[in-house]
Amino acid sequence: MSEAPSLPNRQAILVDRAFTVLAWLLGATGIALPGVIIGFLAVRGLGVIDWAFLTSPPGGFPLGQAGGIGPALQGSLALVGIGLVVALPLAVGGALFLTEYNRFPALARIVRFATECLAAIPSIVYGLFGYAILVVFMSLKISLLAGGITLGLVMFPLILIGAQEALEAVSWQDREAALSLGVTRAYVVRRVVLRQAAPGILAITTLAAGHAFGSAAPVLFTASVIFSRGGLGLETPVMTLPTHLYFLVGEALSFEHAYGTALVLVGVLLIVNVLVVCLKGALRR
Amino acid sequence: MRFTTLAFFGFILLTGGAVADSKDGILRLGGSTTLLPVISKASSDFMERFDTWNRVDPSFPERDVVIFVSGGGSSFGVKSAINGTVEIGLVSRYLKNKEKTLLGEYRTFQVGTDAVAIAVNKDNPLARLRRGFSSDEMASIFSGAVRTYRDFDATLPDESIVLFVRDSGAGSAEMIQKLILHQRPVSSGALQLSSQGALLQKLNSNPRAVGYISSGLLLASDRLVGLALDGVRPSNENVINSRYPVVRPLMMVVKGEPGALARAFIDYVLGEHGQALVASLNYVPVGENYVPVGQK
Amino acid sequence: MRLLPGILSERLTWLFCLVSLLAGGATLILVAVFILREAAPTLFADGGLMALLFTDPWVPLAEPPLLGIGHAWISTLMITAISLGVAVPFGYGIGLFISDVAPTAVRSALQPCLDVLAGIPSVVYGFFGYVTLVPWFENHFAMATGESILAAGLILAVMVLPFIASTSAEAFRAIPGDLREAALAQGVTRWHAVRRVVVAQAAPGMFAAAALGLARAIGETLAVLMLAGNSVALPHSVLDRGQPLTALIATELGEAGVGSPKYHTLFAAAFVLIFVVVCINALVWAWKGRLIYRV
Repeated sequence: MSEAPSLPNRQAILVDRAFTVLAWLLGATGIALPGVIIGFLAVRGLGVIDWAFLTSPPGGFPLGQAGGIGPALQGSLALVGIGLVVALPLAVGGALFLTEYNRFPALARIVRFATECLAAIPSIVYGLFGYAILVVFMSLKISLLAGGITLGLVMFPLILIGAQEALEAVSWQDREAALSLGVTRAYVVRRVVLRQAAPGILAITTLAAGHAFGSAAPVLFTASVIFSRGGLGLETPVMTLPTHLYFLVGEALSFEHAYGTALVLVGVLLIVNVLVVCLKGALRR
Repeated sequence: MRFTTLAFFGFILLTGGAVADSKDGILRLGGSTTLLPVISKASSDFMERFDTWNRVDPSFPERDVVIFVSGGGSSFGVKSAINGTVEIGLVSRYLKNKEKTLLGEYRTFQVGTDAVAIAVNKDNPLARLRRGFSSDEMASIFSGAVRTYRDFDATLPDESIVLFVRDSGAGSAEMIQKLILHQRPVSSGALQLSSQGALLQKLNSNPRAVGYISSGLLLASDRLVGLALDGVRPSNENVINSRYPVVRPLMMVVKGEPGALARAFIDYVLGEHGQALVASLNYVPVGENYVPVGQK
Repeated sequence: MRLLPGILSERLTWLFCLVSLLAGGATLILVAVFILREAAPTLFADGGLMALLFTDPWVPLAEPPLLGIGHAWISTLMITAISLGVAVPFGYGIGLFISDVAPTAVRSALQPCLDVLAGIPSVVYGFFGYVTLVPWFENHFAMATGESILAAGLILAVMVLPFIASTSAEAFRAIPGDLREAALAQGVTRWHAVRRVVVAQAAPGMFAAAALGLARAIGETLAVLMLAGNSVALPHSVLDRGQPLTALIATELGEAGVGSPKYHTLFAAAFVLIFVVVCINALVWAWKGRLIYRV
């Protein structure tokens, strides 16, 4: 420090107190914000939600004013499921290669940079890409498959980065100890590394899945349809929860149902967060 | 921990493996948001009434009836029909020559008619001034040449006119562009909405708003006033006798010849129940009041 | 228990992992190349870039269609500026709170709250803004309609806040306690120590946090689609309506026929977005050596 230190004077103490107060206010805002948002939605939306709402298709005339969100919930789950089937093996495999088998540090850095860029790309760009290549060029039409693959593309960079971090967290001593016992690399990977990294990998996968579940932009033009009654299949379009909310608001059909739909979306997110906390807890054991 | 992993992978398998025998038996429709409520309801009723296709007609396969309906606007409907992404496109305007070329062989089935009405909230200054305007006056408002109510008429308040329009792919947007605005572009300050329903909601709630909307929605709303154009009110009679200047067909478009299943659904919409749905939404059903497509 | 002989399983595992990485890499390259290729007709037409970005308005129904995205990137700029202007100070403040002021119990309550805030889907934020901010603006600011750049910017600030807060908190916490204690031992107040030591050392990390927030704000789609007003006019004030690049793509994609000029323009808009995001990331990486404090 350039100036001679001095005991704090009156002004400095006041500024410090102000800082403390401000910091607490900001912290309180941080804690209150999600509560306010969720509470607001809950107050208006909780009344709509019941088992029928969660399982039945939209009803009323025009459609959406009555009935429920059953097909949308199904569709969203199916889309995320397919996305995971696409993204998870590729991401974990790629992460494994980078941590276990890679000999060129430059490669790891290039891949990391590229993956971070991919993770930051707007989701509508994935939707645009999915529409052009999957829906039109590959003639998958607007379908569960096209939307699922697009969501897989969205999730892939997130899981790759997270899996890499989880794998790198496994101490090299454990690896060396296993190898010194004479087992193959693959055995080490399977029994030692993956086992330790599994909670971390699952945590990031759950987070990515939750993010994909709530994103409308990638599926808006690749998989979603305004109305369906079920009949899930790989070549058929699906209703999805986020696009259903978007349509409800756009068509102004039923704000009550919109609140209910928003609340279900938030509910799923909360479940995802709880799961991740449990998984991270398992990590510490 | 082990349970979570198992549950996780079980979930993936369950959803990833969800397959119904859906190769045939699926109909996809999409396009005009004007037709969306009617066709969604018609398809829902159709699926409710006929579980499987062989109940519609014994010669059809025993497959579940699955119908999907989307919005996206008339242009999206035509393009999807051209691309083959839908079996039936929903269109609420006349087809353009370019589209007809791209479609090649095609069939259109008119299921109703409506008008594109200029509508304002009951409390809108224009509504309190008078109930009818000329097309030129409307053109000057929609093109943004007139920006505030006072600019339009000195007795009106000095508030800016808020325009609500459909985006460029909509049937109503094209009809208004062609028949009212002619060469002048829509005001860049207009808010583009994604569906007719959204237009209804905005016009219902905003007294400073001016927009165009399907006459069916206008007639069903008690908070909107439809302005007469060149002395003609946007009522269903004026649609039937074609006196209202912006009348348009509500059509289902099929590339080539419709398949047997598509044909069955089209017949359902053209039949008694379907037309009753059309009428219940205040559109003009086809029938004795038929306004044939092709009239420009 | 062996399923396969050692060497074979060894090779297969290696192969599988390599193939995964290549598949991922190939997809990335495919995305980049495809988008560039489809954007090329618009980007590289003569005078095209200037017209696209600056001179042409957006009038697709004109003959010939005018497809300039000037209004869009200016809307993006304005909305992003508002959201960062609000979220960055708030975020740093919360970050400092987490690292230097909050007791452990409060910290462990705050972190999950930030995670929840970060995870709420974009469409829910858009809906929330639509039913709260938009009517509020209409009633209190006598606006013709509440959808505006300001409304979108404010909700976007809430969406971006948790990321800035978490990332800057991480950067602040990485400063070793010794430095703080050395300062406090001199007799300065906590704020003085925070300002002169923690913040000064964590500046690169703070930059990374802001960059992360920026990238997120630029890429948001549904929330701004529902709140910014979706109008193709060039916005002049924050109370005007606008149409950011992401909303432009979302609105016009359904209508654009594959291969049409509008289709290529939408890809050009996507390319602009990707370009900006990659540049931001590159900037952060260039400073990466100094990002998290290292002894």
